[in-house]
Amino acid sequence: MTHAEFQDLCAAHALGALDGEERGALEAHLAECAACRRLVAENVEATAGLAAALKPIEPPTALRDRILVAARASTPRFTGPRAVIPSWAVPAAAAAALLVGVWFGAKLQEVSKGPSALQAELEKVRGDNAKLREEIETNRRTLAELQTKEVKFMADAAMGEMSGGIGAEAALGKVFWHKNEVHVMAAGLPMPPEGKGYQVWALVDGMKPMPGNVFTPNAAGAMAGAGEIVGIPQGKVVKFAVTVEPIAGVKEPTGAMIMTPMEKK
Amino acid sequence: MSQLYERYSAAALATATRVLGDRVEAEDVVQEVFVRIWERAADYDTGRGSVAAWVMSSIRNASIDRIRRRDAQRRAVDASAAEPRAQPEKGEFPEDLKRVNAAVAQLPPDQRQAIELAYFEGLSQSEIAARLKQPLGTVKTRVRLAMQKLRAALAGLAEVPE
Ligand SMILES: [Zn+2]
Repeated sequence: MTHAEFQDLCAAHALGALDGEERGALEAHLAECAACRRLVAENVEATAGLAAALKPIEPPTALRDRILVAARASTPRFTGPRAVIPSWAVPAAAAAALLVGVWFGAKLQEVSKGPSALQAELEKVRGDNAKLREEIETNRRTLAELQTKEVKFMADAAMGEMSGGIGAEAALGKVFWHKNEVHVMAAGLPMPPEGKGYQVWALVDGMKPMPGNVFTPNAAGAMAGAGEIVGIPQGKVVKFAVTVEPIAGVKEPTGAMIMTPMEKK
Repeated sequence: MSQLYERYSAAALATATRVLGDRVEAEDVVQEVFVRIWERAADYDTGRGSVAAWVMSSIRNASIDRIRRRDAQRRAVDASAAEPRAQPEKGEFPEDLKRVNAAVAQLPPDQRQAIELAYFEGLSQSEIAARLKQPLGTVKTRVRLAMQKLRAALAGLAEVPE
């Protein structure tokens, strides 16, 4: 087939409407023809008009909430040279899922192991049935409240990403912040040296690094937590980094940068 | 993320509902796609096309994938049932897509039908030909002409010669 003949197939390809043989031939041609790739992209762009021509359906609020919670619980994905999914990703995702609402850290931990532990007890102690049920219900409601707060925060929050520094090449982190409230999630971290933890910093050009909380990762190398960073200016580019510091935290960074702001390509 | 959702979720839900004919499944697809978009936002390459097209083709493809996994019996959804209910207008599309939207409305019915069967029902050109009992060549021409007009609208050009 000639280039002109391939061009004729680009529209149908963008619609996913080419039959087997033609599709195979065009895909092979696309691998080496930038002009046809561009034409397919333009056609894909035009197909969005078909979606735009439909009468919009306003989604229920519950859907938005579900998405924000699910998005928060998911771990970021590696691309490029580090595209292998590291083994930590699985426990980290599980840890992150548990930590939805981590702003109320201790409280949530209590709650998140609540229902199942209580459920087991429920079977043992039949006499206390009613009381335990009540407790489960209270825990469930507290968890729901925490999730609602989290969802509200997420709706307003901006996101920054961090990659691992020297000695923590596999690490990856996300920071969500709104005004002074900062939530941090990271995975793939090594254990810090004895007596040390990981301190979060907000970085703004022309300003001193602003200190945040000190966190320690769990056994799986995942770390999540929230706190305040005072003085984050509005309307400026804010980046985040993590350094190795004494558990008590410091006012200015002194240790190695274990996580650095991720540079966008 | 939040802005992206405000802007495109209503159109996304309409598209998924149109393809799947089922609101619950459509909401599942919208959730799946928006979460995936969130995870990959950092990889999004602006050179690749508009965010609107990225969101909409992700929704469309995920919906078609799902329909293909479905039982063949359930696929026979009455087209009228798939028609979205009247809802408040929402979801502002960028100007250029609104032009395409207008161009869709102006397509000759047979051209519009051909590309809608491909886009919303995932049919190939030969399947469309069989469904419409038309020669394959006729379907190919309709698809090509329809898409040519939509692309012209997107580029802000006047009607292209046939
Ligand atoms: Zn070519």
